[in-house]
Amino acid sequence: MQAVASGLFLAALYGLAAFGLTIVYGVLDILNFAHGALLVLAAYLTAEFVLHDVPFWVSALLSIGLIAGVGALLELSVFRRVERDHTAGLVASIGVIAIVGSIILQVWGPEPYSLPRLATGSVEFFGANLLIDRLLIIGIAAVALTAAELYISRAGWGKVLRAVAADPDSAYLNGIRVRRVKTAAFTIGAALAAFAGILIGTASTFDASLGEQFVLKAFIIIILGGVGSTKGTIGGAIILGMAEAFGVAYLDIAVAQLVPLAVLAMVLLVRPQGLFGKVSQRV
Amino acid sequence: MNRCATAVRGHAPRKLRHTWVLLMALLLPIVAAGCSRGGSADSDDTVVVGAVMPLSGPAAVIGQSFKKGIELGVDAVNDAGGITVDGEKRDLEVVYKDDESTPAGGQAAVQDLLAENVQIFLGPCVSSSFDTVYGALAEDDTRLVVTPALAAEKHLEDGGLLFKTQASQNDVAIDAYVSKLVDLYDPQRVAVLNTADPTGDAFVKGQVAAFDKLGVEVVYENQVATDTTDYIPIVSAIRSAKPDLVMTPYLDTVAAPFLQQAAQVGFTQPVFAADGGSRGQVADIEDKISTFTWRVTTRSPDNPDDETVAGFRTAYEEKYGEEPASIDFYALSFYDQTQMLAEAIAAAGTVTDVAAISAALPEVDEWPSPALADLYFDKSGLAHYTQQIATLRNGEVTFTDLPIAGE
Amino acid sequence: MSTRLETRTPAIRGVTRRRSDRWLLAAAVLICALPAIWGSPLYYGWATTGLLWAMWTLSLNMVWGTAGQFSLAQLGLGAVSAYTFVLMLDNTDIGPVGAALSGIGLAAVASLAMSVAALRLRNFYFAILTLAFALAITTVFANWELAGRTSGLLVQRSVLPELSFWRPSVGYGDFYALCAVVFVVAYAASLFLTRSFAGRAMQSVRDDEKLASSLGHSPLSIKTLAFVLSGLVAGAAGILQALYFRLVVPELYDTQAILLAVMLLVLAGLGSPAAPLIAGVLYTVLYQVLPVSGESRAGILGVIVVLVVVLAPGGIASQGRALLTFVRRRRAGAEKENDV
Repeated sequence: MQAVASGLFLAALYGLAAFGLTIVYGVLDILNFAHGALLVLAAYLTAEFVLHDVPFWVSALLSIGLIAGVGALLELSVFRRVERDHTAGLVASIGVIAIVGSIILQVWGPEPYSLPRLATGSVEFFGANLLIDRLLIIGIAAVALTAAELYISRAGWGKVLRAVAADPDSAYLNGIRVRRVKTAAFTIGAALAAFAGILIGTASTFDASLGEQFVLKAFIIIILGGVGSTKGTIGGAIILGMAEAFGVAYLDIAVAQLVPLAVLAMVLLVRPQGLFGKVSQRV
Repeated sequence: MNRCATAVRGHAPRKLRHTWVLLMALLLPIVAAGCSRGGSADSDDTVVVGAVMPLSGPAAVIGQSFKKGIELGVDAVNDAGGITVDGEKRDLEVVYKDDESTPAGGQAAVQDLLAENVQIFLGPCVSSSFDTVYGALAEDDTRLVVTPALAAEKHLEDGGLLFKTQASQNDVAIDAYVSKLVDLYDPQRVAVLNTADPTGDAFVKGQVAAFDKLGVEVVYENQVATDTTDYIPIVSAIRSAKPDLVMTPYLDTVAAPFLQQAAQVGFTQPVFAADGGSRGQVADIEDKISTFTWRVTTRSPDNPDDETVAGFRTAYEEKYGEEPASIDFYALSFYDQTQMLAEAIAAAGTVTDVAAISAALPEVDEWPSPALADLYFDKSGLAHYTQQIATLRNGEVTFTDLPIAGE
Repeated sequence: MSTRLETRTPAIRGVTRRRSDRWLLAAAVLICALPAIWGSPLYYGWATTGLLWAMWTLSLNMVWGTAGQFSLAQLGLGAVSAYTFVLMLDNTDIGPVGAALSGIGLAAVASLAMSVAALRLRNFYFAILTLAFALAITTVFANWELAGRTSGLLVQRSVLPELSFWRPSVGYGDFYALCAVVFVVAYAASLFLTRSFAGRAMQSVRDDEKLASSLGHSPLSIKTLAFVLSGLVAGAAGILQALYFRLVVPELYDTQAILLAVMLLVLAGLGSPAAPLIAGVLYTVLYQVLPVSGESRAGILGVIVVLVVVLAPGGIASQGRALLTFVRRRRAGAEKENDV
């Protein structure tokens, strides 16, 4: 039971981190390594606001807004200019990681930071101790992800996003302003990264290296779920979260570190289009 | 057609503007660098020592504290009149290089210092950084190395010009601490947790062996990556093993989130004990944890009642405008030692013959402002001093001396 | 996935520039010889690390620039080779040469296996798989008792054979000479092999050159060869790096190092045969010569990378080519005017 709770908690964080990445990858066709950098930057910004006595919820909203702005700016100034060359996009995103990492270390230094906890205390449930704030995070993530998924699959705007992801050229011919959609997608992706970063920050301490861990996990999830599939991303997050939690609970930690990589290798060898991906999907 | 091909065929002048932008971007920092570089630190009126510190990277928090220790040590030496060599008074000067906590950084830093003709090195302090440079420095027997790195300990018996500024962290020392814990708390089942790094390796191995020897059952043993964020699965695994004593990691940055998350799920009953580390491990949960004990690797500087560290505390407050924190025990890996080094240089009467300085260092028994009062270096280069253990209970810290066999 | 990346393949474009190879090789020898002028240990140290990074980027350039597969595994291959080398030295009587050959061979085999995986997987998947491979390798070494876990293993340069005029264990210059020779040989081999195989590729697609280059099609053999060769180079780089640091330790091959190799290569000019030389010089300037803190250095590098990607996608190498063309044209123009 403890492992299941841990797995769901990890899945919630991974899911939020990967969801934004999936949207960016699907619409802009960029392997955005900098996603993790934006995620951790949001956590630091929130911590800074909180230190200046801004209420937590206001800080969080401010940071999400700021990071969304940074995302929009990045798309307009950098990623737009390399849109037909995803190698360049990928390398630019690696450059952005270096820049953000440098800023974080110079402004906030190497000491780990943390954010106020959402709630304290724990409840007993089938012999397991469940932290209330983690249950809250799982709940928030579930609501947020469901809402985002419904939005993308049902709402008009979501349809536009999907159309651009599927085929930018015919979307353009059908009167969709593809460039604007791409900027919006990157902005939404950045905001989701910020949201994930802040939630992670409330649950544990973080330092500049946090983004690196999460972006790799997010990539693995995207592959597990099938590239470009948002439903698959959620499924992938649950699988990876559970695999890791059970690995830590029942295996040596060293072995557990290899579990996500092993899951990835297996999926790539057996079903390269991802567990939830369709064979015909554009990847 | 791709862009670079177009550049070659058609639009060279347009692309050239980019070349200039690029060149400027590359050249600006180089020019800036040129201005700040140059001017070797070696001069006639100072004695120059090189310090290779982890000022950035994963060990930066520790490195900053080391640096404070050296800075205060240097102040103490120079306030007391500097170093007299050949009847001439000279100030002690330390050139700091950041090794970024990495082997590559260690190499670069040491090469820089060698080019400036530095012969005496404080650090490298991180094991991997130390390992990569010590081989070269040892082959060239005109370099003296003074470091707190655990990795130095295995080289002490080779008889090189090497000094380790922290007391031994070998199995004898771990044994002593573990027996003290067993005396104090009489645990039946213990859990051992540490970091997945060289120091963590040594501690886990030593602690498990020591508990085994005393007939205490080790019911859980593990090492975690230093960037772990979720400790709940580890906490619950430890909890289900039902230990009455839990050994926590030596790094505060790892132990603090672990203990915090343990407190969140109400796992606070057992005794928590760290070998190394500081009060920072229980920073926010002092009222929740029943008992937390740690071995102070040097001596705790956040203790106003301790006469021995009073001088250090005053100097620290004057220079940095705040009281030393519990974690500043790292600064005491260099504070006295820097002063002793200055005394040894004066006693040897030379700044270039490091063999003579190295021979003089174990003889030093007096220096301007001691914080580790009974510190001395033995012939192999290992530091000895009375070690301290600290116990936090009900928000009160008590310090006691820890006797170690053979000391 | 677009095939844009593969159209940059110099293997096909470059056949007409055979003469430039000789110039490049000469430049390589010249740059390698530079530190010998001063002969100071500091400059040898700077140059050695520059050479090591030139080798990492050379290896990456073969896989990414020539075979068109974005691999993040090159440092992992180096780790395999370096650890094999040290483990065999410590635990067998095979001797330094045998140990080095085993390490390099193993790296080449692993790289070959990767080329098979690359046939099955598209670019994105391949990139993440190689990154996972590199991380799995370091995780295994970091937890393996025999490999010294996180402390790694020490290796002394005195394991290298010594000659009366060559003592790599003590002389900074002597060890640098070894690195320089290995680099120049590897570099020459990469120039020669890509060129001669590319020549054959050109013959086979001579009838429709445009189609071939626009599709970026290169015969399987070039790709496989590029993978094997890049494995050999990464393996050699790993062993030289271990000897330089006198240490193998997992952190030498972490994500930061992997991304650094990518950034250096793109700055220098992905796919350009001159890229490894430029990358080596770049590393030396940025990481050794510039006295800036580690934190700001990463920022500087990031800014330059983003600028280059946006403003000059071909990297420094293509800027150099543009400059050359520009100068030639100016000169040609001037001559014409003189004629009138």
